[in-house]
Amino acid sequence: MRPGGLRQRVIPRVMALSVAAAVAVARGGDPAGETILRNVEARLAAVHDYAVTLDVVADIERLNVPPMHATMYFKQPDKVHIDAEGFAMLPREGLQPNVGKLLGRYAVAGVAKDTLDGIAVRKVTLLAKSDRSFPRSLTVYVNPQRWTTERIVTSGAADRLATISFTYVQVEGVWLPGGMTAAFALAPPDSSGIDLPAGPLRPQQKPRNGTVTVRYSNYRLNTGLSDDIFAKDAPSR
Amino acid sequence: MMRVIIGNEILKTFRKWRTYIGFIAVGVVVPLVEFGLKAEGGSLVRNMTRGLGEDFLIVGNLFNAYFITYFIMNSLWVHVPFLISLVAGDQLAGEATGGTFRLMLIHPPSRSRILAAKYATTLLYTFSLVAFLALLAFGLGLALFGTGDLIVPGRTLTIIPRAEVPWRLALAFGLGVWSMWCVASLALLFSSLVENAIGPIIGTMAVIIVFLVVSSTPISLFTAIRPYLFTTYFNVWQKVMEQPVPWREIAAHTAYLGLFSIGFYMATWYIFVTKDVLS
Repeated sequence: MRPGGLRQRVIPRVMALSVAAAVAVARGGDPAGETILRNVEARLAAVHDYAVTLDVVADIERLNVPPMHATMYFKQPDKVHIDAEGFAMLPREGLQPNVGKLLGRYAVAGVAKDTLDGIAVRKVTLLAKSDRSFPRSLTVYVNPQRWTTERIVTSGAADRLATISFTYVQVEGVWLPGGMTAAFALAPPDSSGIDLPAGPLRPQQKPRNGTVTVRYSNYRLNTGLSDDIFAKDAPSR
Repeated sequence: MMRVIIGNEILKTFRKWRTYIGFIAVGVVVPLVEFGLKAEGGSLVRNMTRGLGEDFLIVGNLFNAYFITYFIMNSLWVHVPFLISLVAGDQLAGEATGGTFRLMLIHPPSRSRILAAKYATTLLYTFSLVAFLALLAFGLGLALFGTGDLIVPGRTLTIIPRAEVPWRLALAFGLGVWSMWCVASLALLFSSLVENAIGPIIGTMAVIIVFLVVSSTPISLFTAIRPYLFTTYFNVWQKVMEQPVPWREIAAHTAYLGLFSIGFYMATWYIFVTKDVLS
């Protein structure tokens, strides 16, 4: 942790966001979608970077993958790097915890109140600003008590739907993901009934429905991760 | 006595330059394929995982020596059988072409022993060729691509952890040799029928190609015939890469291939011992 600089940047930001949220609530309405996402961003303001161990289990149709292990590195504002000794596949959406950064590519289309497992949440619908952005739309469910992203629902091309649900743990006073379950509902399964024999003519098919479960453990917060770790990574989507 | 006959047959076979055509072909094709794949930079694996890439971040080196070796092993379907039939098809027909049958058969060793020695030599050649393919493909692959988990394409995309790959690949190559011995047995059978080695080579390849088409085409008429074709069991080496390993199926396929090889050998033996070499 770098107390001086970080505190100088974080405290005013948290205060501004809290005031904005308080003003919005005092007006009798809900905080705007942007404010909700900024509040989620503010929750993470005390975290400059972290490294976390990921244990991943994929249960995807027509995909046979052993349990995977990886290390995820995160650095503010939105840098993410994944290291794995062997093969690992992780849901694209939801890895980057700073959902406020989505506002760069998405516009808020609506905010509504909803409940998830009996907990009151704010549902923020986002639409891509550019035709080249995928997924085309996102629905982010935020718990207003602790400003955590409880669920993200994305819809892409060809009726592809991904529902990413989170559970949280408190690490050094900050709510951080403890688990993530991504459920993918894609095109309906092949019902042709033709079981092609093994051999050189056998075609390859795309994996479809299924879930990927990620367990987060062993958080190492604010260790001063170098930018070099993220140098070769493409910018997060 | 038997050892001497086998020694002579090995010497005769490995003195012919045609024996080395297979090794030369493998020695040229494998580096060509591997350097080509290296230059291409892994688009083959990227295409396989393209469907996953939309939803997932993929981490890890899947374009590695294990994948390259597995990819090259697909030559066991058609290319390697051709190289094997070049030598196996010449074992008996070559003697007829050279006019050495009578000279060979008037000596004390029985025809059965001579045939057994030729068969052992053919199997040794087959083993050497497949082993050369395996060592070259893996050795060069290791130098060019390193190691990692193995991605196995198919109806189900399978990822095999790095720790499990070496024993699976070794077993797959062992089973590859086993299936190629069946091809060698067939070529030897055809070799006993004619007096020119071209016939057995073309005959063996024609049978393999036709049978493979029948084995792989999902038509109900072919489905009934399929169990009687040895090519149906050629995929036994691929079974080792399934998760979990279908041991019963592998055992069954291995047994069927063994029965086909024995059947081909018995037919060859009958033709060879009753062959009229005087007229």
